[in-house]
Amino acid sequence: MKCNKQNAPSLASGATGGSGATLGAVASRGAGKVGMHTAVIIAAVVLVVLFFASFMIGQYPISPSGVLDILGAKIFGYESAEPAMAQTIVWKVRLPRVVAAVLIGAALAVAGAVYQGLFKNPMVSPDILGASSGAGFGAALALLFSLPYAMVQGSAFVFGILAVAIAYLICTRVSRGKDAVLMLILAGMVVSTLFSSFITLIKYVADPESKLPEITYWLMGGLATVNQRDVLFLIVPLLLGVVPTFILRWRLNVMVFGDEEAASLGLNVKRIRGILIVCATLLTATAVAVAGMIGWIGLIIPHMCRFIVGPNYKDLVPMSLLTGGVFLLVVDCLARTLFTTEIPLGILTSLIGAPFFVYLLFKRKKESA
Amino acid sequence: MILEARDVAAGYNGRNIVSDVSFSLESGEVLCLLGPNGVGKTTLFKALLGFIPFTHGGLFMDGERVNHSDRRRLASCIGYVPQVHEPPFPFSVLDVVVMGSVVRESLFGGPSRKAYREAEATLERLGVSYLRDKVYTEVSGGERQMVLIARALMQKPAFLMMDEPTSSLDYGNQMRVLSQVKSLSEEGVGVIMTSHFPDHAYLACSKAVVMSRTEPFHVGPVDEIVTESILAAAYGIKVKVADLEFDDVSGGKLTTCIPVLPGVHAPGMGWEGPRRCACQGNQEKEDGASSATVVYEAVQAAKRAVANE
Repeated sequence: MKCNKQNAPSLASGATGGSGATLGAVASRGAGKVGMHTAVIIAAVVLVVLFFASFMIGQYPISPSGVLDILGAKIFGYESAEPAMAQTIVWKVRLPRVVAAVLIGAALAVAGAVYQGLFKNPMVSPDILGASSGAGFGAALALLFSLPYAMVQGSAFVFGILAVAIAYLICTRVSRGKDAVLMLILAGMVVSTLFSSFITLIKYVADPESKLPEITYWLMGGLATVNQRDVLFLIVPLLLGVVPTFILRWRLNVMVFGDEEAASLGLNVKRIRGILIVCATLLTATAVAVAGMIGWIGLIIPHMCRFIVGPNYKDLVPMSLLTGGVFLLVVDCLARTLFTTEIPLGILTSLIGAPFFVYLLFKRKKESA
Repeated sequence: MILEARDVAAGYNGRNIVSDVSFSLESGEVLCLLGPNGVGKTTLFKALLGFIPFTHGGLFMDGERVNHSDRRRLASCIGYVPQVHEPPFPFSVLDVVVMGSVVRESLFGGPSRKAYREAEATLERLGVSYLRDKVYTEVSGGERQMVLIARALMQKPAFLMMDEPTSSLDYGNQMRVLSQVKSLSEEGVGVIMTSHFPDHAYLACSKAVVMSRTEPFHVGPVDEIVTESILAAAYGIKVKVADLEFDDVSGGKLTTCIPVLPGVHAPGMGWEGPRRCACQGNQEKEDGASSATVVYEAVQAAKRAVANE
């Protein structure tokens, strides 16, 4: 009485009507592959090309050969033939900005992918535990007291982490191991709302002539003021966030199946979730500290990547990393070239992200119908 | 290998739901946990798997106490097949199966080629290798159950714990899963499964226990445990157990349980049934009648308590 092959086809004729196969084909293309997904390699190439292309774009256009000449001159130590103005723009203005855009986009996308997996919900974004509103509050507070720019970033970073720490603490006190994920989301909502109202309070008491616009513009998000020092500030916490995530990314697949199943498969659920939350929070808080509140990337990029490489975190994390970088790079280029004055990044990502998300939903509906 | 529960008690918030649970299970044996809703089957399962702590007693593997905080070690001894559910992301079947190897794989990166080959071999062993490239969220309930069994087998466990492996499956798939349970036990895997159908115990299991609120936890051979009197006492309905002879069945004999519907097969028998059915039951033993009466009186007492409030 073995479940032999004669039985097998009748078992197959259950729910699979052959029609849902399109999405299936997309999702399972990476199944059983040990090496890197082709789409990941393509995304890496696209990122490199756009990275160099974005040096040319801006109020002061520079030719491709000019960019190569300027970059090559510094690297290989020869004199560039390009005007000094172009050299300064490439090195002091565009390089930090382009690098920051890639790093921040990548960080937010990876953080979003991780949070979505941990909370088993594709509709989760990196601010779920209050990292964004905490960081926003930290920045607003520092701006209110006219602290130097570095302190604004530091304060944003610290309060971003603090907000998540509070949410996590509430969760561990309330849940005692049961329904940890649900409690964490609820605690995150509470903390997030709390810090949002603190931000509003600060805006309310801020000087409407000078401080209020400063705070408001900062919260809208942007990379206009990014300099080389900011990029250095970004690199360490981002590496601290990305590297453990990369190592644990396959285990994240297992975490998606819930605490009990992950534990029964041999994972130390509490420890892995703790590490991943710390990493994703580091990524989010760092990104918000430098670029302000930039929404949508953490929500739509992992979603989009799931359509391309499937839900397996082994491919999804690198794909989100690269695609997030590409996305913010492109959006930032648009932000600084579309109009004579810069458009805040937060507005642009929403303007692009919201319709794109609706498109993804329609696409999914069509494919699974 | 022998898996032993000694004097186990577990529950929530300091209150024990199950207590005095002792049993032992050898490799190749299948233990079926039966019992009405809310009697603590799930609680016992969670405790044995270490999802909630024991309040008393412990689990022993070959005489050695199982340390539930050493998840890695535990996962290589006991595999868990949860009830079929839907994850939020459309993982491919092979990716789900290969997750079973997560304890054995190195910390870095993803599963190895070897793990994928093993996953394919495991699907083949269960006769469902055609599922390989399908999407887990799009296959049928029976197929998903097979995938979850395959995933648990990837842990290479000595024992499998299956939480209602036949729930939400159609009749045919229920039997396919049961026959798989049977063949796994023949390959030397010890299985603990829960079920709502006493027939499943006769079909696929070597040992059984009928959990009830009033009777102590007692594991024994299926034909000693799944009896008319014990089932009647536990579920509060009348049940007939019959041995049927067949020419075209290996062994020539099948045992089955047939419930007697209150008010249909025994006229006038509603909730007042158990007392009368116990008296009328021709094969009913004296103790069966008394435990049925205990259940009946407990129900009446509960009704009175509700009415008084």
